[in-house]
Amino acid sequence: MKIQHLCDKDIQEYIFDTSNCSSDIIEHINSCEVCKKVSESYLLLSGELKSQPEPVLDFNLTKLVLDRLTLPKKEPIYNYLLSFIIIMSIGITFFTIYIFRDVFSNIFSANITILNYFIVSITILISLFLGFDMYRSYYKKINMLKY
Amino acid sequence: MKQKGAIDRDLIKKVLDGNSSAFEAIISNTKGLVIQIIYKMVRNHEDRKDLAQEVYLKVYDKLDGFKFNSKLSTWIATITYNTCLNYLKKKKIPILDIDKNEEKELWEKISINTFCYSDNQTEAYIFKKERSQILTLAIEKLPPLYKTLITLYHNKELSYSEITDITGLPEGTVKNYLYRARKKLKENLSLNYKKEEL
Repeated sequence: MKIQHLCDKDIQEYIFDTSNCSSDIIEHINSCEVCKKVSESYLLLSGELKSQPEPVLDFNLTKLVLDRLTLPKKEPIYNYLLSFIIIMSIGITFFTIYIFRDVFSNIFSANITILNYFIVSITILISLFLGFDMYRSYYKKINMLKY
Repeated sequence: MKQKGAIDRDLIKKVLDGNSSAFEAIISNTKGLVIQIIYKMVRNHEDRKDLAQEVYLKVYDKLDGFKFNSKLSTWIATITYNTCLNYLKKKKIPILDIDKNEEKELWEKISINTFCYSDNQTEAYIFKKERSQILTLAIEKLPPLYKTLITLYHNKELSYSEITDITGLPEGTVKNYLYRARKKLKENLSLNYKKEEL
């Protein structure tokens, strides 16, 4: 059994970490009024800390978070309009090709010149650039949406 | 515990399926712990509000990566703690702002007589005044990390291992910081008493 009074660390260990507390410390506190008093004051402090009031929020956290999570939904009418425009564009393209089919067949079958190859190459090149640019701006926007 | 784990699993599955009310349930189950950590680590009101939102947005973003190695609340508390830590680093606010000389003096003063004397006075003072308010003020004077550890251990009643999971600090360090924080609280209360006496 320890003859001197316990240090503060030992007393805290007895109160808050009893399973790791040595039997010497337990014996001392049980027999020493001074150390017992100190340990009781720690118990009092612990009780007071436990009963400290929780912070009260002056804003609705759930609403704020959910508002930021919900992405704006497109209006159904907008979706229909977009689909309509895409279908119409495809229809007009095929209709134009059908109407001018003779002209197109002449261009690509009868008189294949260097000029034709040049026009087709330029068209493919511009399409590639536009496609790449669209792909890049799409990912840029997606990354901006991520927080 | 097992039941709680099953509830967490169910909630996460629902959130990943796009059920927003399940996420609402997660927020209401864990916001007490999240708010406690943020309020103890950050002083500015507007920043607290922003950080609380940021935490849950991160949780939502990373939810599909949750591996169930710990309780959902512990995982969310870890995100909260790290978010606050990053905030403090960005603002260059020290997490353990203690005057070294003052600290040395404090921890060397282990004389049991001095301690008991101040202790009895503190106890009397605590009983005399509105104890809770005084203690709140004393807690506010602690550095952010001490405040957080005290709250997690005493107020939220988390175990040492849970606190270790949240903060990433070794268990011995957590115990040591808690010991210092309690001692510091007593010291602050004693100082309060002495001022009142004057």
